[in-house]
Amino acid sequence: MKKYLFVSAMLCAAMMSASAHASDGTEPDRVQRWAALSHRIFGAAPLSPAGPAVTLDMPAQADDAAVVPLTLRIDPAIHAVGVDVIIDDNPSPVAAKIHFGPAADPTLIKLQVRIDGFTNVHAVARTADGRLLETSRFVKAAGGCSGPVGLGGDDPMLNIGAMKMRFDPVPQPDGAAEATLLIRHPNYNGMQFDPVTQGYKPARYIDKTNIQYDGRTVLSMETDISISSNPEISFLYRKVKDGAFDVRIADTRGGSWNHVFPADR
Amino acid sequence: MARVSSAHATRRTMLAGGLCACCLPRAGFSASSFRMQEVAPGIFLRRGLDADATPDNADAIANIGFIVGKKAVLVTDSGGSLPDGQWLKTEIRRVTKLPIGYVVLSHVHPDHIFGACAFLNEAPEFIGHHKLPDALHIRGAFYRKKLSDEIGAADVGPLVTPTRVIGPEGGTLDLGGRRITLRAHGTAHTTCDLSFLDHQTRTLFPADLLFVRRVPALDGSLSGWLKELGTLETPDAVALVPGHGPPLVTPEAIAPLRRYLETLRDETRLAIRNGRSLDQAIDTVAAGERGNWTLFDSYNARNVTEAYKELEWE
Repeated sequence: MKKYLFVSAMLCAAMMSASAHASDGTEPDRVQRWAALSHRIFGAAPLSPAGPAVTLDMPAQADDAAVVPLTLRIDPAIHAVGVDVIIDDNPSPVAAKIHFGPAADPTLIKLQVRIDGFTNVHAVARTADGRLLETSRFVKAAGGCSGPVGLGGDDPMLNIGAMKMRFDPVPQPDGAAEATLLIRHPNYNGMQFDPVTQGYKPARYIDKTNIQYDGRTVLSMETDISISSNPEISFLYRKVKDGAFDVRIADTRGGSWNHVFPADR
Repeated sequence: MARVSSAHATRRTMLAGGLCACCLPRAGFSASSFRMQEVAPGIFLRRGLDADATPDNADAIANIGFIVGKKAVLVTDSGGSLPDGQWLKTEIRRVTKLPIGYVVLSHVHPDHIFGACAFLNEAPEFIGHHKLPDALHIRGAFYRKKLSDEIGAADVGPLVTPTRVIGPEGGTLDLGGRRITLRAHGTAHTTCDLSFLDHQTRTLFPADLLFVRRVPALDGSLSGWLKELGTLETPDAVALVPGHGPPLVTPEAIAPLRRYLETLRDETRLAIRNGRSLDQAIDTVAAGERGNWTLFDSYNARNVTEAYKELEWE
């Protein structure tokens, strides 16, 4: 992985042309790519179409390739233990591996990702009985991986590790509540040019996130360089009296942060 | 495809031969679209197309032009491609033989900077915001590649970086009996917006700090832009030259942009407060502004994304 990032940083310009190539790829190319990629990730285990049990919503054409919203909906009836998000043609395709804990409600997950070129995006749910259920979307976007990082010209490292939890005041139809965790972190992926050093910012991104509620794990997540800077994740939970969130994150440069969010209202 | 590129070569050949684009039977570079107008004494402007970059229009989408003093010419913005800059240079030479002393690079966006290479042989001072060199380092290569994909590599020349930068203290130029003062703005439309005032005609050139009728593109800071808009309303200026839209407007033209940016801010804040996620906000925020702007659907969603990521940390 480290070596790959180094190479990707060194060949940033070359990769832009590589992603332009990807955008010229035909559907058979993409099918072949996914066959190889899924074999690398899941081994010989067979993948089957998820049908309506797992849906993945993304804009067909991303307006901001560095912040592409992604919505996953998983039917609780399939007893998913986790879900993987794979952006086939990104420099490092596995964007997130999410593991559901005992407090999870997999009905709704939202993330924001970077997309480097035209690509299929796959979601693969892992079920308790060992099945792999896949679904995919084709997304047109370009340049999201090398795009600049930062908010309104602020130093992207400002307040690194700061977190915020936002609660949707409107409950889901079934009574579940939606929360969104926001994290300040540049998530440097090794592809952002640094005008000061005339080189590329070394990769530094959040690779581990763990969210607990009322002492039980909602989800834990391993993430890679395809997650947008200042990442956020939305998820569902079942409110309990005085339940509090405990969030732990760690990045690839040894940074780690822990925030406790008191119960909402 | 082959027909398009050969038509391109023809246009370039004719431009190189000194013929203006208005003589050419090209859909994009046509007489009606490209006319240099003297909008005030010594100020010549070309209205950019309300479009995105295509091979047909050679990215000639920004308002560009020049100011003639007694000793020198200032290029107000260079254009969006090599042929766009070459066309501008040809237009200047139809009006004056004075040296082209200054070329303003108003900010980092491609439609304003990729015409600059057409002026390299005139050896002017290329003038930009003190943060423009950083922005060009970060994005220049990316923009160059993207523009080449959009309009064809043959129409994209080298990236030009400023030879003189303007800091927070501002700067002054003398075109010969004609004083220009420059201002480097805080992060607004982008991180590197430069504006300038022609004192003789009291005309302000805010470039893309002011969009008129074409939907604005937010690429810096929403709150910063609203703040910097205030600096455009100055008694020193009776007329303004927006980066996009009609080439010359009165200060009243600032109001619709302020309304759009305030709507974007207020409705994004409301969406965040109501727990709307980014994808939901994109579908609803500022939707009521759709009828007021050209290219609304191409840029509003991106603006909402920028605003959302900025404001959710308030």
